[in-house]
Amino acid sequence: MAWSNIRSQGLSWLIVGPFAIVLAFPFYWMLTTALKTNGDLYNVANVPFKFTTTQGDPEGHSPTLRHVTYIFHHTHYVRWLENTAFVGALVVVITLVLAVPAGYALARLSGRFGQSVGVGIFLTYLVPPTLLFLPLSRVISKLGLEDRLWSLVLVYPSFTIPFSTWLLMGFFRTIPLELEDAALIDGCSRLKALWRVIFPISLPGILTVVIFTFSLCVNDFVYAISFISNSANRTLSVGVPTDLIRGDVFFWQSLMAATLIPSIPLALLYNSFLNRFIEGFTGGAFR
Amino acid sequence: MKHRRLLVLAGVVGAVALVAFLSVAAAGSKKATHAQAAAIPAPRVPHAAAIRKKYGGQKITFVGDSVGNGHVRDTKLAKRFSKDTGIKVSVVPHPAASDQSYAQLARAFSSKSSSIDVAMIDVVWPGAFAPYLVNLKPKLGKQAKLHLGSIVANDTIKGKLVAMPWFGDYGILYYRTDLLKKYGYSAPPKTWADLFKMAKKIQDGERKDNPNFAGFVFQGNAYEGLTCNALEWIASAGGGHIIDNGKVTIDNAKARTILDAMRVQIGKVTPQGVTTYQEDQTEHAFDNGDAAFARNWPYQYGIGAGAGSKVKGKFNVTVLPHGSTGGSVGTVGGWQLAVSKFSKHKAAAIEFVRYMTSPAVEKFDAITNSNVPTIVSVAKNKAVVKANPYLKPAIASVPRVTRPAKFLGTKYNEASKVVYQGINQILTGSPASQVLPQIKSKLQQIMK
Amino acid sequence: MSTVATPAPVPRKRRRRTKLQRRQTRLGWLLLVPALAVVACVAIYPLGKTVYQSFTNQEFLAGLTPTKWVGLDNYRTLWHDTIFRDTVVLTIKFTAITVSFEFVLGLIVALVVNSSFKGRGVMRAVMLVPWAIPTVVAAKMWQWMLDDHTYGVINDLGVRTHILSHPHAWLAQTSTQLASVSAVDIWKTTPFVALLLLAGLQVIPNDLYEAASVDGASKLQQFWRITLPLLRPAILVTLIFRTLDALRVFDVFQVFFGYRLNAQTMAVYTQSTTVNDGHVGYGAAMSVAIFLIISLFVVIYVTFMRVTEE
Repeated sequence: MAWSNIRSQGLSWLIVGPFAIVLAFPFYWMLTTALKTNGDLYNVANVPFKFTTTQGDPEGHSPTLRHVTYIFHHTHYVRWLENTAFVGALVVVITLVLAVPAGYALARLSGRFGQSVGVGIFLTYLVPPTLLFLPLSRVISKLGLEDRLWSLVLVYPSFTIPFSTWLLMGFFRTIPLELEDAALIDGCSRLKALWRVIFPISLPGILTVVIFTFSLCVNDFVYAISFISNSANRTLSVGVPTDLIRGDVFFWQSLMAATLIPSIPLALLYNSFLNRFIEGFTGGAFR
Repeated sequence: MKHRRLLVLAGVVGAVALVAFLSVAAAGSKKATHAQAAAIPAPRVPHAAAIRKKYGGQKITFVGDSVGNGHVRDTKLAKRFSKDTGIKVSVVPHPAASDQSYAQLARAFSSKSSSIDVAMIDVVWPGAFAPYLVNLKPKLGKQAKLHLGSIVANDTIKGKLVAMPWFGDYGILYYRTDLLKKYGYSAPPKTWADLFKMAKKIQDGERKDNPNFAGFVFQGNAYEGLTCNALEWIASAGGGHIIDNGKVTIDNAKARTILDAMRVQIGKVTPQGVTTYQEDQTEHAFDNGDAAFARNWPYQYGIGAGAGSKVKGKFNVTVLPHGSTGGSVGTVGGWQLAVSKFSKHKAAAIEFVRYMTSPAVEKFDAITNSNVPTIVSVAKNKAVVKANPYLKPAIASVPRVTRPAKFLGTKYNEASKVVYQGINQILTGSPASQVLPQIKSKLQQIMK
Repeated sequence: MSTVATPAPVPRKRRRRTKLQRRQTRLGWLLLVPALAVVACVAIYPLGKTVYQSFTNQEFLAGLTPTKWVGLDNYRTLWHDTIFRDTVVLTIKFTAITVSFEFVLGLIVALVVNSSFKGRGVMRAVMLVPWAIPTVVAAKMWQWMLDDHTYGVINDLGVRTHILSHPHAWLAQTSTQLASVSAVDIWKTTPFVALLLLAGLQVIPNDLYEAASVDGASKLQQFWRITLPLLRPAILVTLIFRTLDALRVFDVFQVFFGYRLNAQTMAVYTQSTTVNDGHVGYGAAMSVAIFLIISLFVVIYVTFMRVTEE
């Protein structure tokens, strides 16, 4: 390795290193906390970052898996995971089905008018959820969807569609018109051209939307707590804080485990998609 | 490139392995036993056969407790009720935060939803929810006579009994018997000044070994709990009850004195962070052996005396201190059961409420969950008092003070917010003489 | 392309294009209508309803007081509402702090991660973890980490390393509360910002830098002349999304401070007015005001970026 290369590597790490520590520190702390016994966790004399087993601790050795297993046996944790995946997946599908054509139409077909409709759609993203949920709760109860996951499936598109349409619009604009013209001249209809030519090129953009839509759903709290009250029907973002923090009792270790378990594969999934979807992010929504 | 892909692959495999490992570990381990699980079984339902004949097979939803072991108890009782009567009860825990719980019910009622049949409501809510609740007097009036008259009166709005008393909390003082002895005190403090003095001495001594030690903890966050705490301070100093006889009385010399005395102690004998504390942090600090005194509701007793507690056998409870003038008081808290007007199975729901507020269930709840019975005869029962020392006559007969809900109805929450926001301002440094006039004028505005 | 394009008489071409245009417009609408319909149903309807409510005195539990049209009363009250003014100031302060920190930190991280070095993949995965944690859980976690009493890990670490002389109640002290809550948001959201910017960086063709290197431009010059201008769209998207989210912040403040008077954001105050106090009409007026304030920010950003573009 050339010296300059080593130097730039070193410089990179010098800059990234502190960030990595700051970002990874809570992660490490969560991991150790999740595996501690109560006796270890609540003893001030013990260092928070390593395990200390106390003689006669009723929970035995530290580290222990007992608080991790707790969430599987005493809460609806697996159900919450399933619910989150279910709602997330459905909302992603709905969002794609509606936002891809809309984004394309706004980017290509409607000219100046399209821009103002695009801004109009985007404006709905500005509406604070605290404002939307009162009128929406009336709609939900009229449809008889209270306490059912379908209520979330219905509500989440209200913020995922504006966001996604908008991102996709920017992305479609960056695809050269010539590609499409070529397909049209080859005798494809516009829809076919969209499906055969544009869709494959825009996969990175679409993946972006998938990931963002999914994480918007995972992060929502306001709607999920308003519309779902039955513990078995909850999603992660509400189930974890409400069932593992019971007013007076904080199940800290379980809380940490419950948060970490889905976040690790999610982060890795994001990362593995990264190469593909990286171009999809910006595309040029404001060009 | 190749390298990166390999790395990602390794990462994914690792994550999958971790999840798999955890699930296997979960499946293999023995089920942990619940620390406080009650040894005594849930009581039988009286006249179960008659109820089954009329309403068997109906399904009702009960929005119940989420705090501590409350949910476990609810499920247990509901199961018993279903088994005896054939009425299916699905138990839904309400959100732990009181304001979220209020919002949930308010949303359901204002959208005329039939998704809730029976709900647990706070002692300050009957006024606000009355138009949406079934009058229980015709069917449960007789049983209501067994309960404390003051709480029944609280639950009676315009002559209608809109809710049944379930358990009735009041604020008490927890203190460490071992530390009092160690620092040469023979009895818990009588006045707030005594408490501060003792807390200071114990804290100074204990800090040498435990830098986290605090003299006194309570609920100082800007939320409903602070209104309860503040009412106790003010009333116990002879400064009235925030609103008396329909007039705002909070801005008086005695209230100012006691509130300023509290402000001065923040960060001295209390942790600085007490102004962000709710019940959970209070309980945590005390039960971990990090506080000499704590103000909390009776539920903390069961946890402190339970298996995982560090202060088991080292603490006791008594009445809260009082100011230089005035006497000890406790703010009334607690919960009622109500039936929604939009319920499709009102009669079955009422039978469930009848069971849940019966003497047998209240006794069961008091012994297993250290909740305060609202039925006088249960509160005096020997077994109940033995399990709950705060029911000793000396503590239980302390004057109860109520938050001014009955003067405010639907406006109570707004008024209480004004109070706790103001008090929180005082605790974080503003002098009471500056804040109390503002609270007063805002309350008068609301009451107009 | 020019090889396949056939030259045609001008008038004919024009007619064909308009016909094509019409067809295109029709197809455009066809593609747009479903999304517009859904957005209209789930967003426009409640929005319209809110605007209507803002002119009434509607109460949450409306069973008691009949709802009346009150004209501009709510807006008049809002104009004189000093608490609302404080929440606007606080929210804007919070937004300014978090967005600028997140932007600068995110840009640095993005630049570094964009340069190839060993362990880049691990870095990316680790830096994404905070973002994958639900906000409420993150807030609860930080509340514990920042506590001065019950084993807050930050005080513990600070005192052990003698950076702090004694534990601080970061959230309770008025002087540190905004900084603490901002730190939590920065921790959680910097990865998101870094990712958006990283995406923008990857689009910039490498040969531009090579050409600049040949011309003898320094790294810093390359950054100012190439990276920043070409990153403009990505920066705009990032800033707008972050600003919008920061202006609507709710969960973190609510978890940390309850309804503490000097620590309410616009969203927290609206929520407490609407649900706790039950003043749906007044809360609606507040929401409309917030909507306008946020739109103002979007307009400022877009025009500012347009101006610098020209």
